[in-house]
Amino acid sequence: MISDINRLLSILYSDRKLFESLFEKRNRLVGVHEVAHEIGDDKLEYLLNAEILSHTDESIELDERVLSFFEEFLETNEDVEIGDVDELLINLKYNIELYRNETDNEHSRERYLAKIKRILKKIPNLILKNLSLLQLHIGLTYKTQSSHKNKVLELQHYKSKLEKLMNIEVKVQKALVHESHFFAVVSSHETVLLSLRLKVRLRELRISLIELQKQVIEYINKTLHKQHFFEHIIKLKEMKSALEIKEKSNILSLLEMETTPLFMSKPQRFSTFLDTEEVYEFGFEDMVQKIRHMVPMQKLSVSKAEVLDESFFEAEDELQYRIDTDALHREFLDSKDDLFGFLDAKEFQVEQDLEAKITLYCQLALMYEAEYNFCEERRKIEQYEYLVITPKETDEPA
Amino acid sequence: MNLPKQSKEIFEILSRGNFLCENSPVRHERELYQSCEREFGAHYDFFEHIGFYLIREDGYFYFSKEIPLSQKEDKLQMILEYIDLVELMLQFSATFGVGFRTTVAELSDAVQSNVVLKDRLDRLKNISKPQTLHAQCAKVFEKFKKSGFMALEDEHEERYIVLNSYHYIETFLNAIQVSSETEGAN
Repeated sequence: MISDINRLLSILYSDRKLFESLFEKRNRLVGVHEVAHEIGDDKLEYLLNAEILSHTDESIELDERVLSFFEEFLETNEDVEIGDVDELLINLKYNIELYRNETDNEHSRERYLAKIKRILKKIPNLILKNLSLLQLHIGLTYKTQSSHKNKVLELQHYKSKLEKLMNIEVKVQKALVHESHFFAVVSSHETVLLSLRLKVRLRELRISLIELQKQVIEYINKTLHKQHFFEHIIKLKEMKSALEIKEKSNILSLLEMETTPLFMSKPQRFSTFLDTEEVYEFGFEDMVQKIRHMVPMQKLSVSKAEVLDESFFEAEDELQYRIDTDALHREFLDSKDDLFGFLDAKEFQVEQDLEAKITLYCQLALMYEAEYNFCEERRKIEQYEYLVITPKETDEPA
Repeated sequence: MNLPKQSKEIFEILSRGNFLCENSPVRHERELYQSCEREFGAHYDFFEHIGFYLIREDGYFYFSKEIPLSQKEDKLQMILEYIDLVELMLQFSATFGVGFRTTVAELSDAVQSNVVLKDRLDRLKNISKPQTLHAQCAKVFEKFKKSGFMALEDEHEERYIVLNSYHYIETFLNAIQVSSETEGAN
């Protein structure tokens, strides 16, 4: 047991690494041999005797007082400690009572007043700390707890803690009213100010507490609803798997009663395998060939044109003058003239101009080349110059 | 008749079998929802004339239709299919419900580390078995999306949100009462 602050501080300082490690591992078991290995058996014995460490079964942990000091100071305690506020309130009342009773000793009165001031500062901070912890826990539980049952259990636990905190807040309010006489006569300006600040702070806290209470109730209701729904779905699934759902539930009558969104009423369709590839693999084509004659072929519908106008059927002759080059050739062979002279002198049924005669001259010369004699002599007609062509002399008598 | 100006657009969406939800990620759809909300009477009368019943629910609208007897079996099958789908999602996350957001990757991660989920997923009917688990999970979301119960909120992340319209299937499934004889047996 240490009763000297200097000794306590020096012990804490000299083995700070051990205390740091034990504080970090405060939520799990640390074996005796693990600590003994680190600091040695003698030192361990010493710290146990000094009540800085405590020994439970096979594990070593920080003494409760040291641990709560660390946690409180570093604000790392995640447990909601409603009782602390209650304790403070009792202390407040107690110190006010002591202050009242002490009328002679000014020094003692000041000591009581200092304690009262500390408590007045502590109360709202502690309520706020508990409130924010509850808020955090409630939010986390609702969002992360995967088991519905545990979720409801945890939320209900926090709800009861919250209600206790709300009760404490009411108690603090009452105490302030009850001790209003003390605050009216107390000479310390600071204490009066603190009590006023506390009142304002409590009002703010009350609003937040009520909000949080509403939230936790909503969370519980939602979770319960979801839990029921989940259990219900599992039951439905079991029945569905056992093919009992139609018989053992009202699902068929619900189908008629409940409104049907459009997406549920499928458009009429027929099933066909034509679009799948498998059908082609087992001789789809042969099958079609076999049954083709059974299916009446769809006749092609030909759209008919309108009846033709009678006038289209009336015969209409068109006369065209054509020169019989064969006859002309034969006539030329008999003429004994040269080709162009013959053509020029020829009297056609339809008057031919010089251009047409030249075309005929060329046509005949090409067509009956073998039967003509192409002389070297050239003659002129207007601006054109032409070769004298005469029929070939034959042995046969003309 | 004095028609609200959005009637045409509302009709185009609802007549395709979609829902109009208050929590749709598409801003324009939220505006159309508000229009339905504001001028419900006028919209209802107009659509009723052309044979569609505009149904107003908590946070969503849809067109309803009386289904012929022949299609009742289809509706039943769809409801039964949703028992499986909803159960899968509830197994995946107990908080699954309206407003729930998740990604395809989150579901496929969960399936990978949970054989119960994997089994449920593999047993789903009408969902083909693509090559990858991710694609298989994506199909589940597409199913919900196609029915109008979910919407794609972020294409890149493949993040979906459960729409208010999910209430329809939730309410329907909740309304299914199991006969007392069966309950006693359990």
